[in-house]
Amino acid sequence: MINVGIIGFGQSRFQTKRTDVTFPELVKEGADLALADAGITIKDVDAVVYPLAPDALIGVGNGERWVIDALGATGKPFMRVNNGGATGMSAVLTAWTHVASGLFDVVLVAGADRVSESGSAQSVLNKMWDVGYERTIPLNTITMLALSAQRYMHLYDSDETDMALVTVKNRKHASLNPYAHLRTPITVEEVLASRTLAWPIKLGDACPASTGAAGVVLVSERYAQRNNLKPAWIRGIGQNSETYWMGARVGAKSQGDHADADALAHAFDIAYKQAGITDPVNQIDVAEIYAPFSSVELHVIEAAHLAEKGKSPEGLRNGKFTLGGSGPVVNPSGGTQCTNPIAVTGTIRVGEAANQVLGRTGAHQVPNARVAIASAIGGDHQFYSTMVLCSDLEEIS
Amino acid sequence: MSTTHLGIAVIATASVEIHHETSKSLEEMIFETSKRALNSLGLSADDIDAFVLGGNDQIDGRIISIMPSTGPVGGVNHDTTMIASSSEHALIYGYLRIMAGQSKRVLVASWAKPSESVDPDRAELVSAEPYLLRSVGMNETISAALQASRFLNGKVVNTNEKFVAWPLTRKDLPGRGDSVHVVILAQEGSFEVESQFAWICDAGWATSSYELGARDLANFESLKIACNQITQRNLGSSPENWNAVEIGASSEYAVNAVTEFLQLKVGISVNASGCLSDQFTSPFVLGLSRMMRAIEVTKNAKSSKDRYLAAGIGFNGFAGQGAAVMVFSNTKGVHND
Repeated sequence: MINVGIIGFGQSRFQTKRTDVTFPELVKEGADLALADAGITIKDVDAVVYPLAPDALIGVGNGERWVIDALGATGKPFMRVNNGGATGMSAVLTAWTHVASGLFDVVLVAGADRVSESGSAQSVLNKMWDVGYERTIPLNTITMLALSAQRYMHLYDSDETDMALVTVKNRKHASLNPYAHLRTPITVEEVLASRTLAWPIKLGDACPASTGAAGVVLVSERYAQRNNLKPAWIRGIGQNSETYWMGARVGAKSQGDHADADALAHAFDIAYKQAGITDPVNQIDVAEIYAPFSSVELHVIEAAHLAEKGKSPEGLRNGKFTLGGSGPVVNPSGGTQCTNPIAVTGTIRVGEAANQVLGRTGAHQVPNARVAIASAIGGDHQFYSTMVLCSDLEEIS
Repeated sequence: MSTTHLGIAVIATASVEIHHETSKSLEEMIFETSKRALNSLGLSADDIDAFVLGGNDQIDGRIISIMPSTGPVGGVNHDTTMIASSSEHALIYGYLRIMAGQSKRVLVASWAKPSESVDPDRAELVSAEPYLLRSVGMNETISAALQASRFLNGKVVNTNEKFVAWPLTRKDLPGRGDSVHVVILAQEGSFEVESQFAWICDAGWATSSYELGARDLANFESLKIACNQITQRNLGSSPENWNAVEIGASSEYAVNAVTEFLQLKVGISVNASGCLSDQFTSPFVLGLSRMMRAIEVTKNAKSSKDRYLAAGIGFNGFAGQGAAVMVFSNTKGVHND
């Protein structure tokens, strides 16, 4: 088996709009930051995997071809991944495959997004549903997840305050993270008083439309040994897919319930099995999970088996999942809810998790973190990517 | 998970190529073709470890093309990844997954159904960056014409055919149509020996500059690097050992130039399955459609006692920005002879 690790992570200081760079220049920023953090140059890179989600968000079809020069990828093996919102992490998993195949020792994943420049991201994202049936409801990522939040509240006797607690935690964490987009702490009352986007999701529950870049560098164990590097080791990976149809997420014939994230739980199970994780609450120190809305984080915590179904709100009320609290800390970076440059959001989850197990994150570092998990979600809660990272290759006990 | 040292084979294929499919949606075409490939082996989707898809959002007219296509290939409740840069990359990624020990059986599906688009040329135009190339109307055909003109070397073009974009006529260009291709790959030991179509010897792929003005369009820089990768790893699978090659280039001019460039041995079969204009395809899947034909040629040589190598070559991006090569054999293993 070829072990694969992460030796570099770079990210922009995210904001709503960047007028100082073109899109390729922004991509280059992510690549340069990742390579610099890894202490290598593009010449050391054997292959490049590029994450780019909907072409329509940047307005260029097969936009990956446009940025190849900026990435420095000319002359190298190059692939683009597009798994919707999961893309940034699916690309890292694809890069893992490149290294684990034995063909490559150093693979760069770097990309960028400038969501706010698409005019109306939600109008674009409405078009991802079938033209004949579900597009006309009209669904977008907010209304789709509002339906899930309502279902969660119904099944588990939860309320909007539970969602607000997620936001309060994540904003507190993001205030410690200089790269996060939304860094201003917020109170439960302020979240509840913010305007409703699609009930029960309010502005305070929602992620921003972020602009910026990110990248990670993956290496083989033999490369790490040859160069005396200490990577964050990828110990397990998993992916899974759901049905496309929102109408098939509830009811007698559904495979899961739209309140939950059972397909994501299965992806976590695959990664946990590879990593030897049998008791997630006690074995995992950090979780960087993809949750663009506060309501999503509740069921993702449960899918990661860090709480039982319907019990994550109780944990939050008891101070769990928070820096300084007991048990695994969830989204110490502030997570997707505070920074969401769609194409690379999953890449950031992996990079933050890697830096956590290497003790390199700074003010939002979880003390003595050894094992971290990362996850991402794409499409209409349809594609799930998961990963377990560890500071070493010893057994995870 | 462990890196495999076992052979990797193509065990099933299915394709549909039609000028204009009016009675089925793209999703129905994907479903039927995937089902046909699975049925040919008596497999179901649950026998597949991973699904690798290759689609293009703009050509498909789907904002995130993987979303509606995952169900039709059988990918629900499975690991599904969309490799969006080209159909050949999707096939290569399926191969890498098995090499990495991540999967034993992978279904790769790629497609294009431009007939569903109101204006496929405009969808291609949107692939041009918005500052320079889009305003000059760049698309696959015009970039193919620019490349073809580079091969003329002062020769006069004598034809009675109407030019689509000088010097290219309809007969010089790939045919356009609706197509879906499905390939099932498997690791040795996870299939019946008699169901093997072709062993995969190696794959090489690379890219070059996006900027048309920054490269010599006659140079095939990305193809050169892709072939070098194979030669360095696997000398016996290098171009001089091929018995057949199927080239999915942007024009017949480019096919001829690639043939010269590769310095193939005398008598090798080049695009024996037909010229570019005969086949209903689309730039996004052109390379994979030729790889499918290389697989077919290899399958036909299955009973031969001699080693038979067939390569498929595809390009992606304007005027062959990227190139991918896959080499198939009727016999297993690396041959560094």
